Amino acid sequence: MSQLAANQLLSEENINPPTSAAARVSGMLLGLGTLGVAGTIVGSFVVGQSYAMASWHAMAMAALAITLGAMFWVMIFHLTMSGWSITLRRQFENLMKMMPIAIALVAPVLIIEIISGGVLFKWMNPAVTAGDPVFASKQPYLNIPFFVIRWMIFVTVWMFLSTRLWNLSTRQDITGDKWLSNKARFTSSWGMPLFALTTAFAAFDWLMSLDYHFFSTMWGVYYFAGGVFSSIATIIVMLFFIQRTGRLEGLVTNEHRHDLGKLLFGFTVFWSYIAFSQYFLIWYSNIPEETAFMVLREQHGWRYVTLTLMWGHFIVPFVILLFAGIKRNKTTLTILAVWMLLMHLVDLFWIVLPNIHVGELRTVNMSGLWVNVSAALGVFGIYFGLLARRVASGPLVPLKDPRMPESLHHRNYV
Amino acid sequence: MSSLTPDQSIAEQIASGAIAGGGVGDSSLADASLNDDPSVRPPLVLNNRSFHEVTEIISGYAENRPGKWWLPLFLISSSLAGVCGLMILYLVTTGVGVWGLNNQVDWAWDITNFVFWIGIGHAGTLISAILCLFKQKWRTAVNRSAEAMTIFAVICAGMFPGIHVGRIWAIWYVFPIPNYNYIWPNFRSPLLWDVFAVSTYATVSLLFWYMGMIPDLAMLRDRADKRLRLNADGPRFCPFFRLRADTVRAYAYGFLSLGWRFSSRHWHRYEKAYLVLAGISTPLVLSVHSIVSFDFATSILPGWHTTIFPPYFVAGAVFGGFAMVLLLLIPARELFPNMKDFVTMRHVENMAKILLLTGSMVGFAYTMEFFIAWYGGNEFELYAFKNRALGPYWWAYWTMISCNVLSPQLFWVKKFRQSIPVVLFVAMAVTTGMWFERFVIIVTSLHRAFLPGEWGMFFPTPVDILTFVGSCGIFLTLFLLFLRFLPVFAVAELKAVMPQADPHGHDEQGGD
Amino acid sequence: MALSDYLPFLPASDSGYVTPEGESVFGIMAEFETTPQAYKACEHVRDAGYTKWDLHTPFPIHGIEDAMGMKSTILPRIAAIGAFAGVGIALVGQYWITAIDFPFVVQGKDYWAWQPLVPITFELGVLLCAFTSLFGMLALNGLPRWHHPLFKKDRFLDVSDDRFVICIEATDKNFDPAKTKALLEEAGGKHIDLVEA
Repeated sequence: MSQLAANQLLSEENINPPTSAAARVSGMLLGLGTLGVAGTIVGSFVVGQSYAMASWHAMAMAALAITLGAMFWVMIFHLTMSGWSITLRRQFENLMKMMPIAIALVAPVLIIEIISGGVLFKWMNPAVTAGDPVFASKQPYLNIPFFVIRWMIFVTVWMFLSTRLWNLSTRQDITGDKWLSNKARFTSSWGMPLFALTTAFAAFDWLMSLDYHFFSTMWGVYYFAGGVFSSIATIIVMLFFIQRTGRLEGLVTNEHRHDLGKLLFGFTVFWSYIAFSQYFLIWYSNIPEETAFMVLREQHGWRYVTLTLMWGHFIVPFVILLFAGIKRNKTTLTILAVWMLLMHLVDLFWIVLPNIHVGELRTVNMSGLWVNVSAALGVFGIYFGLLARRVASGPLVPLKDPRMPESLHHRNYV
Repeated sequence: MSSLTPDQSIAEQIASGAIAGGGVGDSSLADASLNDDPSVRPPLVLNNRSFHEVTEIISGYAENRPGKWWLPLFLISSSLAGVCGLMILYLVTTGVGVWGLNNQVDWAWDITNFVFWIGIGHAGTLISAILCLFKQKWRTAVNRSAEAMTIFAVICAGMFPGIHVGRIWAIWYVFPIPNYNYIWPNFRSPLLWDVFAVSTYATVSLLFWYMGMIPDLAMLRDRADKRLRLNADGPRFCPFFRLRADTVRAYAYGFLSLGWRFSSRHWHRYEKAYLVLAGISTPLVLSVHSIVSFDFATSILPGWHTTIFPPYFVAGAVFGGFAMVLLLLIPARELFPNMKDFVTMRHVENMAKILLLTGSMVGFAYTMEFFIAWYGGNEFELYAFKNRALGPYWWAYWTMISCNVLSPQLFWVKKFRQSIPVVLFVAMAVTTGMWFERFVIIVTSLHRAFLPGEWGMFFPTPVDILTFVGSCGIFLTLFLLFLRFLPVFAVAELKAVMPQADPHGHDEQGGD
Repeated sequence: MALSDYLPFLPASDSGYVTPEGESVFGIMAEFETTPQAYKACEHVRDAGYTKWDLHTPFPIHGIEDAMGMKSTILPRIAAIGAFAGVGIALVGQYWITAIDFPFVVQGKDYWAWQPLVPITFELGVLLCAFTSLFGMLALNGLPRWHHPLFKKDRFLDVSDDRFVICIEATDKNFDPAKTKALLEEAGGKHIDLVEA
């Protein structure tokens, strides 16, 4: 009997990609993206090259975090042999498969930096680092050739893992070979340490080294935490729009949404835990080379952004997400997810922008806000526009996953 | 009507071949739980047990005399616990000078033991809370004993900060009690946060453990009560009194089970309360060990001040705690009859995987620490790390690395994960390694502080060693008492994940 | 839950029914052997309009809330109140001590710095939340209560093993010894028996 019900839910019109809607949405988003890119370029002349580049870099790193977070979730689902999440997993895979796009979005700024000799990454500029003993000790790590080599390693690892996991899942759609699930699990098991190391060092290279005096062992975990929870938020938003087209009815239920809500809640708390621990240990010990990072973010108006993160990224969503009703309601959960995504962007701005304010723009510059908005539109217009196409490129669920029946019966009892 | 001698009916059934050995899966596996087919959920309870058999077997552990191994083990461990008591008495009456501490290394085995035990205390709550939130149903077979282990480990942990202050009679100053000196505790001190964190953790884990036991205690009460009603005579509590053992049980279990009567309306609130407790215990576990790590990380001592300490300590705690669960459960499943039906090879393998995961997380943290010590460009920090690896305590450092990072890597191989001797060996290595990790962190950082005048060495005295060994005795004594007198498994939860528990008769097994 | 449940010397509320032996009746109990049987029987009793009744099971049955027509509990809200109370007490207490009553310079930190107060604030919130959820659960369940009419029934003791018992209380407005018994029989109950108060 349950098998019959399953077949009905897995009917063509329920899991077929929403091609026409996706094309419409994708066109609109890509249009916005183009506008955003144009805005950022204009901004680089009007407000300042470094400001525009920093804005773009922050947003591209935010998109990369989301993509890496999605890859983490796919691996976790395989590792824990998770049954409830099967009907959601294809969306995580779609997001993970955005890896080349995310890498490409990060690339321009890095390339410009290397060519132009360090506008954001000041350590690339020999004139800045000359005579700096602290830098001298880091030079074996912070130099352009090694930087590029590491960049290539990250790209290789991420591309390989995401492609392999994607292929195993889509091959199962066709062949129905249940043992592919075990292969995916094995890939995830050795993929996980590679993922952890590359993500941490990418965070060191592309965010932490913006201020090359600053260091924090927690940094990799901090970047990862942002990605893990923002990818859940993205999935919630994606599912909202997919279900608007009348698909995935009965496949993604309030029960699944409840669980996504719990994960969003849990990892909002996790991010806050990591962020607070990092801030707190630096604040308490008050060692100059670390504290500079935090002091900067408590001055020149950045204090308000810090407080926005504290309240908007943690306290308010924490209290709201405590209520089960909100997690089980499509609209409220989606609104909250959008809010959390915005906070993720603010977080990345908070990391990147204060670095270039040193010496140039001493205070938070409201006149530059439109450049930030353009960069966000540019990066995420392109990212989500192409994501919509990706969603429309195949069935919306992993059709022949052996644990599909469990996901169809999934219920939270308490 | 069921048999009144637990396990007898089962033994008869097994003898007569009424209970099949396997369940699903092929016979080449060590047991059916190791079935790796992704379309089949391996059974969580083997041998197609009925509810009644589960009740009989598990109640039997608390009702029957345990095997011959119990009493000798209990005598040994309780004597060790006695030794610990004597050592503490000696310490209190003489002073902390009886330990190997000195002006240079003023924290050593005491705090190492504290962090070691509190770390072990984390796996219980982790299994109960985090695995509950992640819907890992296999936790039902191990959560009760792991929670018990948590309580006992926290008791051992709480002892050390208490006794290491020297003037133990002044320990009440850590609590914010109004007093005639008009002074308050310093709320900006990590050591005070520790007091609050550890006592909250002890309280909440105790509540969690106790709450989980209420239905199972009620089950033991009902069984004792039933035997009392059915036959007037039975084993005496003590040869000299007319008091029957079942009378004592009926009153003791009856008192503790608070009159639980298995009402569905009660179950509903009970499960909600359990979920809330699981939900708050998860951040609690994280916070407690994070706060323990703050003891070190808020300072400016090289090797102590690093921002990754909170999650790194938590991962280490889970790591050490799971190793201890394995160390306790693997012998238990050999010693108790039929326990292998509940703690299956799948459970052992899953825990081995968690050891691999958390061991790698700890390895990741070691890498980050070392890298940032170099990258940070602070020569004192770098020296601290070089000194760990190559200085006078190099042996402690390399014991830590090989036990914590290298030994769990064996678990990449499926054969090793499924081999009891290998799992036991790695669990032992990890337990040792995690003790050394705390020793390395505490002693190697302290023994080479900023000024040469602060340089020294630490050597443990016999009192140090006996106090630690004695704390292991306390831990084991309490655990043996738990095995003897309390429900070792969460019977109600175990029944709820059995296939017969599905109200719609779906023949589904396992977790999701 | 009447007060007399806890204070045995108070007169108990009387259903008005008596057993053939002349004892006051608490209700009627029926036994079921499997989970699906008990589940279906519950739907049956619910649909017959009874409100004061209960199913006793060795483990929580998933989804039984619907079959019994139970409302969701307010327990999480009570627990949340506990948590916020803990947070409030911790913040007020710590601020009063460290910033007002006994200001003391530690590491050059501001008297009113919020950062060092976070750990204890969190811990106290968790502690009070744990207390309210456990004791709130017990209070809502009317526990501890070491005596209950059902405990007098020998067969009831098997619930903790593998039986499922439905007990319909005599104070229910729809209760009628004959009709209720018939209903339980129809629902598939075995060993139907009157429970003396």
